[in-house]
Amino acid sequence: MASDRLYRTDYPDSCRVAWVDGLALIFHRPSGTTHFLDAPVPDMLALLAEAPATAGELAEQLCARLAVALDDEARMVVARRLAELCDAGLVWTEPCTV
Amino acid sequence: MHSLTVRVGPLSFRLGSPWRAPIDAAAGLYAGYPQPDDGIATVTARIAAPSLLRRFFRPQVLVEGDHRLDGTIPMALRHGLLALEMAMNMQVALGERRYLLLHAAAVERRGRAVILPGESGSGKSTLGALLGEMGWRLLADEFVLIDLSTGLIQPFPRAISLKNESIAAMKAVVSDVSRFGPHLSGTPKGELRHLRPATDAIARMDEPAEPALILFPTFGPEAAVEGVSRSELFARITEGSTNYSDLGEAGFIRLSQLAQTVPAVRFAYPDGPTGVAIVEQFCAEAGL
Repeated sequence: MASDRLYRTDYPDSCRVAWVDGLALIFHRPSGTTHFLDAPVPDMLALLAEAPATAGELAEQLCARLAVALDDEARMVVARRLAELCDAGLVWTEPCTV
Repeated sequence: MHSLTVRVGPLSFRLGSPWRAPIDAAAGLYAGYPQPDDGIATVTARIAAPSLLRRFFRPQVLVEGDHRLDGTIPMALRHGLLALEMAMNMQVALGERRYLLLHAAAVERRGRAVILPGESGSGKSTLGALLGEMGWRLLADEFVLIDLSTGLIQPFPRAISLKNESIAAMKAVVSDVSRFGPHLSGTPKGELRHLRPATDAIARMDEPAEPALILFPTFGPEAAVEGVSRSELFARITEGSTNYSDLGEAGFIRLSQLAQTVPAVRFAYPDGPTGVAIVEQFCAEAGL
């Protein structure tokens, strides 16, 4: 299950970041692609850069960071954004061994 | 094979054609341009017949060179000059790696440049050509070259491609008829005529300029102005660059810096004089 997986990122070490209009413009060196990321995705990457996390853990950390309530909608948003980040190659998963 | 070498800014071209007429037309258009510094052209752009039959019977031309695109459609030989120009464009679009390419025209005054991006038909060529006759120096018509190390615009003052109504508009302000190429009728782009930039643009083709303002022009029934956010600017400029994705991080650094530092506006204009007036107004507000 996705919730059992640890999400990892090579952000920001493998990225070049520029901010425009509050959006993060990210050049990802390994793929050579450019990404436009709106909130809360840059915060999600920053949290994953601190330590790999499961989707549930990340939702909890993100809500604490943004001072919003942790509910089903927040968990759904995090899960969807994580799926998009995986598709974009900025995040990948591996089975949780902890 | 007939040939011609010519330097335009940092690129030097070797043009080739099995027919003499297109080369003669190009030589007239690029009269006064310098030769490559060391005599060796860096880019080959040529036209060729799609078959031996089409070299002589109802002759047709294909666009070729160092880089080529499969599936290009042959053109009539009477449009050979257009084909040569397209061959030059193709080589720049597909091969240039030293500069970030923006699909835009650009003009300069007192070292500071206005970039006019836009799709074909947006009026950027007409506006750039008009400004080039009104105290501005034309830096580029089709491709604006951004130096990856300095962020400055390296001039690339190729012949300007005038289409349809813009031909008459420029004939009204350019008195030297020798600057115009032959009138090409019924081309895939409609009526077409090339214009050699003013002498100043050619003489100063090695003087770079600092990007100061980005104006997105469009032809429209009424004059109108609208702001362009920095994120939209980045997206639109990226879409219009043929080599951004090939330049990697260097292209990202240069383009993101451009989006972060250079103000951008979109405007519509109904005719040339109004367009020039709008540009001048923006420039006055920006201190250009």
